[in-house]
Amino acid sequence: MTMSDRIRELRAACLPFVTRSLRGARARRLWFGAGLLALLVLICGTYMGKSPGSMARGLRVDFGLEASRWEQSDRDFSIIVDTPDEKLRVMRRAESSPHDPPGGRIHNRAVQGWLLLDHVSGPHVIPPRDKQGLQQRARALRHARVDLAPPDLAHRRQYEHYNWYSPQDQQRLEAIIDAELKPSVVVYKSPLDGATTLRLIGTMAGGLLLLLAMVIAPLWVGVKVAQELHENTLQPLTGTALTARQLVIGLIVGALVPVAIVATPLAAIVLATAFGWGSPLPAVGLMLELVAMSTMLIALAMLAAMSAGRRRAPGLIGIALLALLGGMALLGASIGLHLSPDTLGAVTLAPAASSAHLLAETFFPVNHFGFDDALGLDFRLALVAVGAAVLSAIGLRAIERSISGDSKSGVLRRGEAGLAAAVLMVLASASIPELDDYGPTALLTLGIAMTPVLLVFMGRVPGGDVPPSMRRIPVKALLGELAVWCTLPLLLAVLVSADLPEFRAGAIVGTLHLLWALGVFGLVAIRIVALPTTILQKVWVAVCIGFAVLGYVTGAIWCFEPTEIEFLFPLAAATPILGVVHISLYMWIPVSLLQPLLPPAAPADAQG
Amino acid sequence: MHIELHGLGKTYDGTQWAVRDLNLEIPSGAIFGLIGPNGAGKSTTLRMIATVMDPSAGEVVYDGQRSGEAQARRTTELRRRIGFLGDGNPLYKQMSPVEYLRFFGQCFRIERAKLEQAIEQTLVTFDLTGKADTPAGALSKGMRQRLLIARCLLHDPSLLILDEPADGLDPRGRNDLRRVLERVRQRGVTVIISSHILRELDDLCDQVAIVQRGRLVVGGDVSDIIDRYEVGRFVYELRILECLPIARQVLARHGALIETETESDGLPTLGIQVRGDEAVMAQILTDLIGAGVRIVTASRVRSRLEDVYDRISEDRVN
Repeated sequence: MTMSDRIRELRAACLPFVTRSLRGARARRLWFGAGLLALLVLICGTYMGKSPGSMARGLRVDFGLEASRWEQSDRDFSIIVDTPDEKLRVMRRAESSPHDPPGGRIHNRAVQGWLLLDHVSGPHVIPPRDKQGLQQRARALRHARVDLAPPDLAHRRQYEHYNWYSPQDQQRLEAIIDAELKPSVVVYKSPLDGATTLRLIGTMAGGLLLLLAMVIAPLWVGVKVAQELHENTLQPLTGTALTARQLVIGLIVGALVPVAIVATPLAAIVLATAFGWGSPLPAVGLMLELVAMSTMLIALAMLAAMSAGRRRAPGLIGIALLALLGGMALLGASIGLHLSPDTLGAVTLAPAASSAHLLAETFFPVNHFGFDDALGLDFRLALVAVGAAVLSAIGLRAIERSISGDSKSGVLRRGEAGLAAAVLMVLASASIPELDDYGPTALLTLGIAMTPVLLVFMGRVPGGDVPPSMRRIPVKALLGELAVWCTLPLLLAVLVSADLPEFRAGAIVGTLHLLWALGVFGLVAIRIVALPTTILQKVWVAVCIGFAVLGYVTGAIWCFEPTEIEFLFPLAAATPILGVVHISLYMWIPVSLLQPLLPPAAPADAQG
Repeated sequence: MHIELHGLGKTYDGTQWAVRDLNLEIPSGAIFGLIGPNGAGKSTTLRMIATVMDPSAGEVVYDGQRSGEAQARRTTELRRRIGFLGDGNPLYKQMSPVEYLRFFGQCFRIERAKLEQAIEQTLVTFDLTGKADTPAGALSKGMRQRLLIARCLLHDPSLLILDEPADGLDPRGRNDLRRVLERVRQRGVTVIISSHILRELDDLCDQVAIVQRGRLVVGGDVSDIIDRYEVGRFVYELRILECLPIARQVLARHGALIETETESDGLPTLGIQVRGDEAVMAQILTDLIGAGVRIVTASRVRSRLEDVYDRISEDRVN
């Protein structure tokens, strides 16, 4: 198929869904809304950067873009007023008497300055050698303006504080001396320059873009797909001239068009401000990262909608997705905006972390990474983008098969599922900053990756329009696949670690526990996909998962820590009866999960 | 499109068959009626024929081409030749008929100019021109049903499958549906339709199949079925002005079975079952009039297909 054919096919897939999304006056309304939002961002950014108003000032102070008004006036030995009129009033009052009358703002400020001079000039105060000149000047000025001494001097002296080693305190003192105890009256204006305001606008647009890409886009696509399934409108579409792949593309593009229209001016603002500010590279990285992560989240949301859309109302799915995506975005943003050398591995775990970090790096870069850390972070960012792209492609293949009903051997083929598992293991492995000890690293990697890997594993379980009792589940082959995947982190850990630890006999017990836990995890995953479950069975599956987690932790401890024999089955450490229960469950859990998955002795017979 | 069903079976739970061992042949261009009580397996059968559900056993052959497992591409190709209206097949409520048809036309990759022409023509055919820009949610049920069928025919399929299309329609809606199906028949499209409304399928269908408990009870040409089951009984309704006792005697003499005796508009009304064809009924009427019975109206109340159905149906739900 040539490129023009591909474009034609893509156009054919998108046309109906885009036309549907933009029918009537929708396109016009959306562009108007997008323009309005962009304008709002520009106005808000400019207001926040430049406005002398108390709200904008408060925001700037909250975001750490400027010092508080009190700190500024203290630092510069000034009186900050809001308007020129106010300045005139303050000045006139001061000029009306030789010294600003007691209680006036200039007088009060001068008294505060004098008190500081009095504090640093005391005979008992011995400053560092290089600050003695400053103390002499302070002392001279103090004596020259004794008239400023307040009547309650003895009382107020005890509240004064000065640190000779603090640059802020030194700046404060110098300002008082330089002004000769005559505070300046200045009309307040934002200290932020045009470039910082531009960065502020870019950050606001970027934040909204992040919200659109990480939450709104996947949420919208997920809800739309759930709606199609719930209202049974997807079925007629499968009978049209569009292939399942085209349908998937169409559904995504159609649902994304409104989001894309809203996002376009915001993206333009981000890029324009980033290029204007002079940090285009992180901005381009941000865009790529956003596209990759958003596509992966869209695929995930679609899969969730596909699996629950028929049984659950779209609104309910929307609420669940909003909670999940919103939570992930908040967590990712908080990690990404406060990355440190210790936490940089987390960018591979939280989907929004990499984008949030790149947004911060674009407009307000902080240089607290050494060369090695910066290199490690950049490597992880690239890894996340590639991993997300691979997982998206595999996820979309699964959706395609699910729509076309081609899931008799699972919605994922062996190679696809293996690749997805490998990507997840690598990402989990990259999230661990220290890779010194291969054993704990392997188990930690496996633990972190276990949930998403099991979700991938579920894609291998045969589904389709076949009655559960007539399905033939290749349990042995599937568990074999899972076992192969689980050896990957071990392999990775060995590859990146230096020395292998000495052999310990307890490790055999630990390995057996781990194998049991992995087997139970695998059986639970197969059971959930292959067979319908009653509420009671769901409770039992939850119990099985609980014991599998316990088994995994027990195995990990036995592998690396010298452990007493009574902890062979941890519940036995409490009471012997619980120990017996634990041992019984160790035997019964795999049997109970495996039994319903075995093929029936004879083909199902007809009744009626 | 010529359809063959070979040993078609479907089980949802692996223990009970919804449809079992269904063998049918539907000739190209025929209107085929699938009749049966609720839960008989009609919808399941239609869904399997429409390729939206996989059979648990047997196969469906379309013009000699099989559809089934591991033939996803062929199934996709096949679906493009089928127009399927399943039960509970809702519309996008916010879309107008024009937008809805345009959306599906684009999904069928019909060229723009041709599509606009087809939409215009379809709106006229299905009497929706006046509501072309009204949101589907605001249309009457009959109109929505017509729109759904219009969607199924927009891409010019060779097989149209309609699952209970008359369900919930008022008499006018049903008449509209009949008219539409007559037009479809003229286009040479094979139509498979399931319905409870036997009277409506009676003279519309070329062939019917009666299914019960997922099994075929009888299938074939309507006239053949009637012949095969020797249905020589007709049900009539007689409204009599006077001489009811004499009428009873005459009817008894002819072996006519009085099923009901009611009153309609103040006149005694008899529901009678007559053995034999319409000539027998003509003779009975002559004798009744000759005996002095004053008859106001005499009308047939049940179709022949319904008689067949009543006779062979156990009328039980699975």
